[in-house]
Amino acid sequence: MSNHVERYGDSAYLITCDGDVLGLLRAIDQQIVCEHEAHVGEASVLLQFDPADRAAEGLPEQLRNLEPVAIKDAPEPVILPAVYDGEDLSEVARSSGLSTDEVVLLHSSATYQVAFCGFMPGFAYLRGLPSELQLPRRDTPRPRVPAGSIAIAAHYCAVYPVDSPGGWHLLGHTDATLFDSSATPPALLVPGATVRFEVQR
Amino acid sequence: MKGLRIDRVGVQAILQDRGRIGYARFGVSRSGPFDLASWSAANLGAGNTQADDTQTDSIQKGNTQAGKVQAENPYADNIRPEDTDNTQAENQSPATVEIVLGPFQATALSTVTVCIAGAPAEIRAGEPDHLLEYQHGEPIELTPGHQLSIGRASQGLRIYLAVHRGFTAKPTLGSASCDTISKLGPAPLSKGDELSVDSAGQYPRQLLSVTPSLNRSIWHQVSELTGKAHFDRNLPPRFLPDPDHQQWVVQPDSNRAGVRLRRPDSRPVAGIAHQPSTPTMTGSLQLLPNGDVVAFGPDCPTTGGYPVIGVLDRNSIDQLAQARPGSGFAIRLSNQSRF
Repeated sequence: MSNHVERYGDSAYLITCDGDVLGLLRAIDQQIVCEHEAHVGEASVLLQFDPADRAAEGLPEQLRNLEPVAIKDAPEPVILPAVYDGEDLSEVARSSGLSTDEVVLLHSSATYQVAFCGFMPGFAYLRGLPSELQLPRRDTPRPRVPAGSIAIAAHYCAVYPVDSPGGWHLLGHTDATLFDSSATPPALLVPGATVRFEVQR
Repeated sequence: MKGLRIDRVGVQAILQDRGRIGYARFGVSRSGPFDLASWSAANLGAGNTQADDTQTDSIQKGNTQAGKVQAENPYADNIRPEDTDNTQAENQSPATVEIVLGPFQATALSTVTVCIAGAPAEIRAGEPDHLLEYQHGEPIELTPGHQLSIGRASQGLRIYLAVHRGFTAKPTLGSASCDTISKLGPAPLSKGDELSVDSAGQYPRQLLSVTPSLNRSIWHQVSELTGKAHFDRNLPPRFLPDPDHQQWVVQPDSNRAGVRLRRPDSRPVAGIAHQPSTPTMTGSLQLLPNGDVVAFGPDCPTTGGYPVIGVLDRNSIDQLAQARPGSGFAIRLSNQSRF
């Protein structure tokens, strides 16, 4: 089985595979030696390269034949202290036919994995949201969602790293710093990381 | 060391080096110059021959706009890397001012060599009561008290002001580029700001005398800007622009995150919601439900939830950077669409 590789402008390839996109990213990190930068979306990897680099000429072939690399040891989950005081908590409970306590229990019992980052620095799309809590995003986005807000939409959960507009349902907030440009890596939640929310009273 | 005091910024003036490379997976855009060819031309004129290895390499092959000019330049051989200092910090490209539209004005606080490229605009410099006219791509030596005045662009949108060895700015994630959306890097310049230069920022005088104007011909007089793109042939045909109607108009709500393009006959496109988020980059052409296309700029998000119907080539992104709201932008299928 080979990956699907599509030209993406004159200095990038988009690689799509049926299975483990994060495993494919790991394989690229370990096996592609020419100068490049790779980042993931929901089901694909974008690899940007330097078109002047001769070593990039064999990329399509190499990328087609890459096998996803499974992670050896599951990393320790990142624990985010969570206060469930979000503006949309009761509405989410109503829409899903649950009590607010049940929503909190469901949300804080799940283990999440960072599928990819996007939207803004340090904004991680977390998969693993219980199906009972999967709702379409709000009809009207809020002009300002405060930094640290724990939010859900569709099959994702996320935490807003800074104040921003947003259309997700707000369940609560965390004090954790999601993005710090002086830290290595700058994002607390990196693709592949596992995440749990710990209820704070 | 103090270099320039900013007296007037125009619509927007921001610092840009090559950008924040290597952090896309954490949601950090690359930023960097929107018109890379003009940024490179300004830096070549300012004697920053080490500005970028990639660009230098492309220039040797003569396959960029700047490269063509350099290749035709009879004095090009006089500028050798060994003639200029190589003390510029490794991995750091020169921070350069990207000016939207102008007019822009600054006063020299020390002796500096600058060079301007990009959108055509009148350039005057010297003693405030005796300003001389300069060309794009021409090195300009300013001594303390000298004024530099760049007029409003007569065409195009973005003007680049480079200084020998780059302006000094504190890097964030390895780059002194201003990300206008994520607010990373130095804030946009305002009147009264003082930009520092390295104390060795003075360009060797004997080199100055042989450094010719580089890019008078970089700006092509065009009524219609054209981009080339690779279109995704896996998407349903209804998502793809009709090959006979690829004339788009640049909309006013455009910035460094994206340039919004609309066709005169734009109509909503059904069924494009709920796409899986795809990784994106500068040049990605994202189709919106109302039929508009957003061509992503350097401060674009690193993923997008609408279908990417194609990706502009690097030279086309340079053209896009110069497309004013209301102007036409044609997108044609790139001849490199197969590999």
